[in-house]
Amino acid sequence: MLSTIQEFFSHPVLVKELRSRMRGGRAFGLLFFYLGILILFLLGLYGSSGFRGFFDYSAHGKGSFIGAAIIGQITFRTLASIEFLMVIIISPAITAGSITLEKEQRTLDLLTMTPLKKSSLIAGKMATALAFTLLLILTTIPLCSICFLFGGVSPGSIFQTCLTLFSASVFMASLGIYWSSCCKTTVSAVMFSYSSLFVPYFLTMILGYMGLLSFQYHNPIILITSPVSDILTGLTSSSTLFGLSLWKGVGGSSLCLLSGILLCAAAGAQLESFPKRQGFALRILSLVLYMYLSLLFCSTWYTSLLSHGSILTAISPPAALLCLFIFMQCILTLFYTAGTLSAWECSNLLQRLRWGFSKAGFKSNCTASALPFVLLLCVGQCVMYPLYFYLIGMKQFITLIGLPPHLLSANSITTGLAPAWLHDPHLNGLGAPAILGMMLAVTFGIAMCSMFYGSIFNSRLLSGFVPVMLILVGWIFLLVHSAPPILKSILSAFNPLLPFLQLSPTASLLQSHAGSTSGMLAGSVAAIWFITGCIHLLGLMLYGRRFRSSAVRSLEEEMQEVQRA
Amino acid sequence: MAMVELNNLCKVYKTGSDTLTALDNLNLQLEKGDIFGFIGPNGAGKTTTIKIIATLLLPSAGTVRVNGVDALKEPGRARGFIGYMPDFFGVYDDIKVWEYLDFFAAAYKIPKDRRPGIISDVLELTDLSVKKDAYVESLSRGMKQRLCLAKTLVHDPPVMLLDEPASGLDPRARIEIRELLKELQAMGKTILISSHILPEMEEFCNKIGIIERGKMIVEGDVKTLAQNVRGYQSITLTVKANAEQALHMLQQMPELVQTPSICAENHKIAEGSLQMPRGCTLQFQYIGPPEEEYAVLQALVQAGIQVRSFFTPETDLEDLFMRVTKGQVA
Repeated sequence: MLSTIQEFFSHPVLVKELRSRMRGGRAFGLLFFYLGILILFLLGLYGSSGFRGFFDYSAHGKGSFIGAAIIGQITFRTLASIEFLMVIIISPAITAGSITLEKEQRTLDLLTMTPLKKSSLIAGKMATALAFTLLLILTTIPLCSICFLFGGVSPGSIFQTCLTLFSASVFMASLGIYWSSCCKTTVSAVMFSYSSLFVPYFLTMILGYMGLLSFQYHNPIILITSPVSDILTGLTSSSTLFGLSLWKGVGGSSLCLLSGILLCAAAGAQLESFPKRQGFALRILSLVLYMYLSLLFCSTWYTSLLSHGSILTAISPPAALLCLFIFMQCILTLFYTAGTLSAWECSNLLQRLRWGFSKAGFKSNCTASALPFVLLLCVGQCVMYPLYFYLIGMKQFITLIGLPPHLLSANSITTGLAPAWLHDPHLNGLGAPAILGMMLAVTFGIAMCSMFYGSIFNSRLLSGFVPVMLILVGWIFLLVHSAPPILKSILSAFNPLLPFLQLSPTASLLQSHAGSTSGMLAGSVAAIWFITGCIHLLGLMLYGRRFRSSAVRSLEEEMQEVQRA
Repeated sequence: MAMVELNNLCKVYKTGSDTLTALDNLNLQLEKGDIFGFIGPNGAGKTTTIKIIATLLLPSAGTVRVNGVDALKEPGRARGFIGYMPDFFGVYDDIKVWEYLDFFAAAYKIPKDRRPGIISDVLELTDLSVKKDAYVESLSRGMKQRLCLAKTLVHDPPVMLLDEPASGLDPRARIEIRELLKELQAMGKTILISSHILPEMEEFCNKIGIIERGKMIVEGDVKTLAQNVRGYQSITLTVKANAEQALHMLQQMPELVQTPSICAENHKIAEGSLQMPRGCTLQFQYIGPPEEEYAVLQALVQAGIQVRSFFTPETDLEDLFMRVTKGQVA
């Protein structure tokens, strides 16, 4: 045990990074700046008249303990939220340059030549970045202690906040390191990591528009962007996770940590010079994350059902869960299939696709054999889905997630949820076969699209861009009222969430689809994505024919290398 | 057993719709102790070849074996035998020379207690001991180059791949690097060195290969190569007197000698050595069977000509290079 710890602290990357990070005035300058801003906010808050007035003339009487406690809590929450904001800005900034700088200084090749593993390199870089953010978080504890003057805040809650902040910084830092390993320059890595921070916010906006976020403080998507929201609102913060009583905000923190590990693994796989060997661990990890997310969703849904069940009637909860699955499915499909297919892969595409179903193909990381994996995810999720609800329907599970059973026995939604999956009046004809078929078709279409454009344009970015644009076209045509009805009904089917819109309060958008049930809409979505997928598959095969005669075995896209050589 | 063995190495890049052949069926075999000079115009595929041997690039076809290990199947094991020095040497900011070496030594999993000894050894070898505590970015370019060489020596690899170690250096730094390479040669390392500065290569390489557009045009021993390419070997002869008689004799051997002439100017045999007086030096091209040029000398000596020296001047690699390459870039 002791030797493992010693080994970790003599990790070459960790030692070198810590040496160069803390050398000179930069690190201390940043620390000074960070604490300075926090102190300014604290002083401003303390000096503001409204704040003092709250203390003096609160309803509880002048100088009451409750008034003081409220002040203490407000101070603490303000500090925590500013701290959170700074941490999410600083942590990707530290890691976004960590790998790209190695690329820019051309030291990455030298590191590749050493027996140091890429995963070890990522771990070392992450450990240094996290050590620094931990320093930032810990240095604010003395500032937080001013709340003890007023009361209302326990040392335990400060510790819990630190834990949540730290797990948020793990997610942000790993986002930075992932982009750092993908991009060639630091500037683009920084740009991508900050802009991808906004994607979850953007997603929550769409979901909110659909009325899917009525229990937003427990929505996993929100939890991952802001696990602190749990603490800040103080309304719904739950310290239980699957029946275990842990710290407040445990759901968001665990999600952040898990996605952080996944992103780091992805970064490691990205850096491997012979990439075909790293796929297995990455796929297993994303499978775990996927399953965990849905379990968390179920668990948190029931937890908030307990606190205010009436809000949930806005939309049938299974439909909300399905929306989340489809989102996840689209993102994971893009993640695995975006990228350039080599000419060799194009020339025997069908063989490659078939190979993906075998054991070796599942373990490999080549783009073409990833399609069977994402389809498998799809089927797995559709099978797991009724299972969750079956579990939830069982009394043992209810006690496991820590809910008093008598509360749920009265709730009509839970009874018979598993059979409802096959024939659900809530879902308006959207049964299991329809959803499974639609998810498979959408996955197939997105995968083929991204493979095709990736190969034709030889760019990973463009390959992911086109399917996303198609989905956006689906949304736009749904919202544009003046569009011709036929065009509108065809193009809006690119939106995979279309069938669920009918179940939501925004069903009025679907005037052009009047008279069709959700099941029919799912059918049209499946059809259009299947056709799109087939067209692109055909195109890809035609494109691959050109390479069939050449003796090329496998190709890497290293244009820079050619230009430099 | 060959230390480095390349078989039918191909590398094809795909640029949009058209393909670009960077390496075309390259074969190479280096034994222990070989110093192989890899020469070619820019863009010929030198760096690509070195990167493929260093397991940093996957070839499109062909096999690579380093010290008997298949570098494509077991890149991890093959890397252990290789010291690789890229053409562009990057530095880390805010790090000292010894810390830089310590970092790489640790990355090569050298135990902590052995590192200081190794670091001072390689610093000694590269003549950087005085700079041990200096920051890397404060070093001059030549020093950085030597530091990079020191880094590649940390794990004592039997094979060294040096990509243009002398590019962008001033003459003094270049000579220092050359001296260093000679020391490495004495240590029995197999060195593959790419360069386009030719005079340096011929001094310490025992084998050279000229590559153009991904194809190895010629490969082998420097002197035999020159003779094969040119079809003759140029020889300089100095006599004490009777230069005309010697010239006459040489003219009598047309099957062995061609275009004999008396040098008009004072001939300098080698840098810094004595100069031969005017009128006593002859030059001719030997076209007889290889390695039998002593026959000419024997004939001259038997005829009573007092020969002071009879030698083959250093092969003019640049001339050779210009002859075999066509200036085409892949």
